Amino acid sequence: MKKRTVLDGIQYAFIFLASAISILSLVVIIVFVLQKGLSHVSWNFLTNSFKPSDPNSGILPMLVGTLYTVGLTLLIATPVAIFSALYLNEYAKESKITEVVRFAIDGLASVPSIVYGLFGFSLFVTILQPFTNGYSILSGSLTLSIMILPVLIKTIEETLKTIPNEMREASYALGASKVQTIFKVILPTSLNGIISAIILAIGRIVSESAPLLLTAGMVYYMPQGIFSSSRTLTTHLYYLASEGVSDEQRAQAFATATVLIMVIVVLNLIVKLVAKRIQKKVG
Amino acid sequence: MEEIKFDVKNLNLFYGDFQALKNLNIEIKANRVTALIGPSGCGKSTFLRTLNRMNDLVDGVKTNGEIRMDGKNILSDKVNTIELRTKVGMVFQKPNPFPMSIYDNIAYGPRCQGIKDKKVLDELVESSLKAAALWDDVKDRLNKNAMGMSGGQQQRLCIARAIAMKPEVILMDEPTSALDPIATQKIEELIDVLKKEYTILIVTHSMQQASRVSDDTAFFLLGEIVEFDTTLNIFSNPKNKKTEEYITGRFG
Ligand SMILES: Nc1ncnc2c1ncn2[C@@H]1O[C@H](COP(=O)(O)OP(=O)(O)OP(=O)(O)O)[C@@H](O)[C@H]1O
Ligand SMILES: [Mg+2]
Repeated sequence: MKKRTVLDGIQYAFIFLASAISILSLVVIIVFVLQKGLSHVSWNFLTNSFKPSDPNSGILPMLVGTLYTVGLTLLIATPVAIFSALYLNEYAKESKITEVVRFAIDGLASVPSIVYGLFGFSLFVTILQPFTNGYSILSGSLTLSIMILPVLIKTIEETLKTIPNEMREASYALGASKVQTIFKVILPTSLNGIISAIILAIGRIVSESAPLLLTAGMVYYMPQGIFSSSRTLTTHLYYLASEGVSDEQRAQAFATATVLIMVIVVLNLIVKLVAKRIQKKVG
Repeated sequence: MEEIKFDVKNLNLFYGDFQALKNLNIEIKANRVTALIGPSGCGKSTFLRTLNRMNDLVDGVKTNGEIRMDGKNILSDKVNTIELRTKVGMVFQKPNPFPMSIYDNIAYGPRCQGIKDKKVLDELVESSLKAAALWDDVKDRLNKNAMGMSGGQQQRLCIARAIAMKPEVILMDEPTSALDPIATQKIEELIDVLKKEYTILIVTHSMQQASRVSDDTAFFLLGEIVEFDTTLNIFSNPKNKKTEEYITGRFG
């Protein structure tokens, strides 16, 4: 009995310590960034364009570039991921082929992002240049799509796996076809899981810099569409932090980081709101 | 002469190499309640699921023999299983409503058949819920999620959902085994009413339930039908020694 409580105590101490460390580091980082950056975030900063040595320079083109990149990447990757996961979990019978596919997905998930960047550079920027216009939001989004697909497929498939088989049987027993079962039962039921997967994906898209440097370029003008080259907030931050020597540039870097954090929070909220709307609609 | 709904002839079913049903022959009469009893693993559920071809969904199942429903062999490759399942509804052991509103649960089957007219659906929902003795409980919260109902209500919802398809047959696989005595009683009363309109097959582990609700009883053992007769005969005057041992609770 005594030994037990001591062990329990130690266990709790560790759990507490681990949680405390993770929560604390999150708070410290955010406070640190906000404290250094928030004072520099003004309406002008948000709505001005960028000029390298201008103290009044802003980040609007990068903000727009980020939204373009996130939107386009999700638009490409989400449907592909959903249909791949549906195929793996609902259609394919377990076989050597699905085993190989799963192995490939696991492997791809652990490839460093810079490698995806190199691949995207050779394929989208170079070979497919007539279609993608070389360095462009499109090339960047295609590259990021391929990069996030493995994890997206895996998380969506995990969600599909948690749907009890009784749900499918109930649907078939009512004379529903497979397609009806998928669209009316399986997908609505897994909506929450799919949304979490998308939110995780947004985090990854927003935080990548290396593959985008190689595929979307570093142009700091306002993007005119998906064929424009563009900077995201993260690549801009990368630029500011690596080139910035003046206090002014450093302040801009922290302000950009602050905006970046806010963008992530806002995007997550939007996705959750959209999910709620969809959920209401399907029942 | 009573009408025969299912005429099963030399039915065999294999899960891979394992034979779960062995040369079954049985005539299920229309508008009666037939109980399937027998010890665990003897093939009751498997047999039930051949009647709406739910075993098609299981990998590696092979079936041979014949099941004639109103004279037509439903095991034939040509049979449209979707159409078959609209005629042969099923209620499962664990209540399995969809995580959507009560209304949408009932409307699910008809909508899958292409019924979109709101008025038609409204009527179907009301009549099905009434038929399942659930209307008064839920008429004010049709748009609430069905997962918030009690287990017994969920199971009656599943029955209502099956009824909404206007089936000819309802298969029930231990429909009350997850329910308390009061909910069980409600379902049994419901079965009694429903048998006027539907042919019902019910798998049960409760001898009392079989004798209370059914007209005919089939006793299964190790994939075979040992005895099939009126419930009265099975329980008062079993011809097979194994049947007698089982219904008196000496094994199983
Ligand atoms: N999907 C399956 N794959 C392989 N064997 C199966 C499968 N389903 C059932 N079986 C086997 O077939 C036999 C009959 O199973 P079934 O579920 O029909 O029994 P049951 O009479 O309904 O039993 P219970 O009263 O426990 O529900 C059992 O031996 C079981 O192990
Ligand atoms: Mg069973």
